[in-house]
Parts: sequence; C-alpha cells; structure tokens
Amino acid sequence: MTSLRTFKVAHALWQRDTLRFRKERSRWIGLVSQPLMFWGLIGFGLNSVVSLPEASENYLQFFYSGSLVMCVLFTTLFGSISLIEDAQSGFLRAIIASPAPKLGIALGKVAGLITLVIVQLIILLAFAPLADLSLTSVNWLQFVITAVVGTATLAGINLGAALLINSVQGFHAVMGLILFPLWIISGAMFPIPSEGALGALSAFNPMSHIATLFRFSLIPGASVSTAPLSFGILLIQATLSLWFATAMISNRRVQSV
Amino acid sequence: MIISLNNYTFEYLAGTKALSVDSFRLHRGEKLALVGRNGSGKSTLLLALAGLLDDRSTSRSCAIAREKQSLVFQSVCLDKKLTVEENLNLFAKVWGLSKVEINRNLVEISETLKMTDLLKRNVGSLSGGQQRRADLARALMIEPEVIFLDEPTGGLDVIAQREFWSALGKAQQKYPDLTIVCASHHGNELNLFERFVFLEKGLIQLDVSRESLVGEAHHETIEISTPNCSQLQEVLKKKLNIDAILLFDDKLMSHSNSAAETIEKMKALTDFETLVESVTVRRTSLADVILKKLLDLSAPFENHESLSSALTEVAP
Repeated sequence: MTSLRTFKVAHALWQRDTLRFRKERSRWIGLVSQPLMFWGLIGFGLNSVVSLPEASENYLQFFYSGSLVMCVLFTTLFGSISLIEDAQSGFLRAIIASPAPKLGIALGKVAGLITLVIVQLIILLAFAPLADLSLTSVNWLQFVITAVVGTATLAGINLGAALLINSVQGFHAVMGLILFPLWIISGAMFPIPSEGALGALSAFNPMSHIATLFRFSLIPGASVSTAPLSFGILLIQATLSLWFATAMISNRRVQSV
Repeated sequence: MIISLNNYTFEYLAGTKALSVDSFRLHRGEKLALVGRNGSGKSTLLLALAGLLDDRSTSRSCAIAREKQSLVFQSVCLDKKLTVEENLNLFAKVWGLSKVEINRNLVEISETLKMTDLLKRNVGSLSGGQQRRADLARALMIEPEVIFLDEPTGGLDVIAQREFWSALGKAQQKYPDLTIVCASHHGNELNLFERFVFLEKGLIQLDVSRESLVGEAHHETIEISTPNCSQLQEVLKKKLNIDAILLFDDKLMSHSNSAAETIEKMKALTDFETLVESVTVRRTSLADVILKKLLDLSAPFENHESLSSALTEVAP
C-alpha cells in the first residue's frame, strides 16, 4: 500500500516536472546546446593535436562521452536549483506538509530529471555521426541504463545538496568549486590514470563511472575493462544519493521552509 | 473533539518557548480564530494543531487522518508556471485522491468558489486575489475535514482580501461541517468565526466564544484623529475622565455605552479644537472588540505605541 502511494506521488511530481519542461523551451535549448558547444569547440579543436595512448578512439569520440556526462550534470544541477526555487515560492512547503511519502517526493523529482536527460541525450546522439560514431553499433540497453542510473545518482546528490544549501547563489558556488572540477577530472575530458590521487578520486567520483559506461555503450572495443565494476559502484552510489535526497526532504520542516 | 493538546510546549530555539499550552481542544465543525500580534505564537499554535512542528511530542492527539487535513499558508503554494487546473490536479494526486474524485471535486470547487473561468489560466498570470482563491481551492480539493489558514490574506489589498473571505464563506456554506482554524491579526476579517483564542508570548490568554465577545461590545466607538495623541489622551483623562486608547500614531479610540454618552463625549471634544482633527462615530464592530482585547492583553507585556504598528486598521 505504501509503495503504491509512493509510486503515485512520484508519478504526480514527475508529471508536474515534465509539464514544466514542455513549457520552458528556452531551458531545453540551453541545456542541450551547452554540452554540444563544449564538445564542438574542445573536441574539434583538440582532435588534431591530441592523441590518446592505448585507445582505439580519437579525441572527438573520447570527448563525446564526456559531453554526455556534462549534459547529465548540468540538467541535474539546474533541476536541483528549481527545487530551491520551489522552496522559496512555497510550493515545496505545501508538498512537505502533505501526507505524501518523502521517498515518493524524491523519486518524482529524480524521475522528472531522468526523463529530461533521456530526451536531451537523444538529441545529442543525433550529432554522434559527426564524430564517426555509428548509431547502429550503440549498445542501447547499456546506454539507457547508464543514463537512468547515472542521472539518478547525480540528481540525488544535487537535490539533497540543494535542500541543504537552500540558496541559489550558494548552490552556484558549490557547482563552480566542486562539481565542475569533478567533471573535468572524471575522465570526461582526458583519460585518468588508474593509479595515484586522481585514480583514487575517480573511484569515488560518480561522473567517472558514468563517463566510463557511456564510452562502453557507444564505442565498440573502447578500452573500458572496468565497466562492470563502474556499473556496480554507480548502482550503490545511486541508492545512497536517493537516500540522501529523501533524508534531506524528511528533515525539511514546514516552519522553516 | 478532533484535536487536543495537553501540556504542549514548543521551542524554535533551545530555551526559548514559542508556545506553551496546558490544555486545548478543537471540536468538529468549529470555526476557530487564533488572534494575536506578530510573534505572539498564533502560527506556531496553528502548526502544532496541524501536527507539523518537529516537536516529537506525544501531548498532541488527533482523530483526523493526515489526508483530511489541509493548509493554506501566508504565501500562495501553487506552481506559477502551471495552470490552476494542473495545480489542483497535482496536489489532489499528491494527497492520494483518485481520478474520479479529482474530476468531481474540480467541478464542484471551481463552481463554489466561482473560478471556473480561471482553471485554464497560468497561476502566474492571475491577480493576487485570484491566486489566493486558487490556493484555497487547492486546500479544498482534498475534501478536508479540517482546514488550517495561516494569515491567508497577508500582503493582499482590501478588495482581494474580501474576495478571499467571500470565497471561504461560500465554501463554509457548501461544507458546513468543515472545521476551520485561522491565524490572523486582522480583526476585520474574522466575522466567519465562532470561537476566538487570543495569544501573547506563546501563551493562550483568552479563549472565548463569539457571543461572549459581542456581548462585551460597547454601543458605539469614537475614533479621533489628532496630531498629538499622548497630549490629547492625557487631557481627556485628567479633565473629562474619558478613557481613550491609542489606535495608531495619529488616532485614538474611545467607547461609549449609549448614544447619550457619545453625544456627551463629542461635546467635550469640541473644547479641544487644536488637538482634534476629525472625529468618526460608528457602531462598535467585532473588529473593534478584538482590537480592544488585543490591546488589553498585550498591555502588561509592552506599551501600546509599539503595538500600533503591528496591528492593522479597524474596518467599520
């Protein structure tokens, strides 16, 4: 009964987010064009001067997966900022004051972001042939699972952090100081050695695993032997981040929203 | 009895009691107004009754399911980018209503609140008064047994305030068994209510029925505009033994128990032409009585001058 209730609440909030996304076309354009622009400028710019050791793909192909991770990151970030706006407008207060299970609220927000990410990834995939990536060789099941689990992980972290920080400016600062650098050293822009500090950090960095799994789905024969391990870690991180977001929603009090 | 508080205390900050209630009972169908100035604890009592304070207290008991309790806050809680209908649908789903119930309630409530023409409009495009009405519709959509209103007309102009109370009046007629609890410091808004709880410093100072309040009402109220309140107040008391209460920085209020007394006071005021700018006489309203009670109750705590800024105008 409770799980059905949780699902219904998640469904209602997912519907709300998708409705809003449909009405905010400018947001779509921004979220899709930013990774595309990064990929175009950096990927094409560096493709002729950068060669990847021990890799079957060129830099443009390598960075394409990184751009997809950027899409996931930016979408979950801006989606989380909308949660702060919900708190400031009073919408969140009414939802928290409702008898809705808090897990349902978190799942609804995460599901909304997953939908948005999937649609944007489809748009971005249309540009994959520009990097000589064949859409017929994409492992779609793995690609979609990566998108879903990866978005759930980043969405959970960002939603929880947004509620914790509770200020758009503060959240922007966190984005600039922590999340964007984490994206850079995730293996999205350049290969990360498995040894040393960066290697250790990337083991805990969910974006490293998302980048690995996207690469694994898109590029046949890509040197990503750690893909199964990455998937396992990402799954654990997704569960923990969902728990974090739910806990932050549960801790939110009506009198302080 | 549907909700009770016994030996209930709540602190926002450790060591500072925001609310302390020995015993309080809310009965089914009651229309209860929580009255007090800013910071008196009325919103805290409202949230305590609604079970929304993080008190971990066992001293609150409630016979109504959470699904049947609804809240209207000081600010509109709707998503301004969605239409009114989309918002009402959303909140009803979050509260667990079925599709059939949602469709039925949507028609019924929009007709009751006379807002059928607003359903397809984005909330952000509505006026403040229309948004509040839509927010009230949201609260009514879930078929509540009790509705909590926390200063629901804060920030609205007089016309929008009237729109809101008129909508609530219609809802009350449609659902006579609905229990309504409202925190407000606007005495002129509380004509719908039957029971009045006055709060000050987080304590219930007075718990009275409407009949009792009205019974205490004086015959007439004289409102005096003056450039020097304290001087006129002193003169009236010393020379004529007339009690005048400071209403605003430039207004005094005095009560009369008969028309003859009013005439006598008016005559006396003509002797102070330089101190009196204008005088208004009106029949004493419920709002006057509530204001007087508030002034009397807060007198032991603070002087009236600081009160005048916290209290709103008294409508005739």
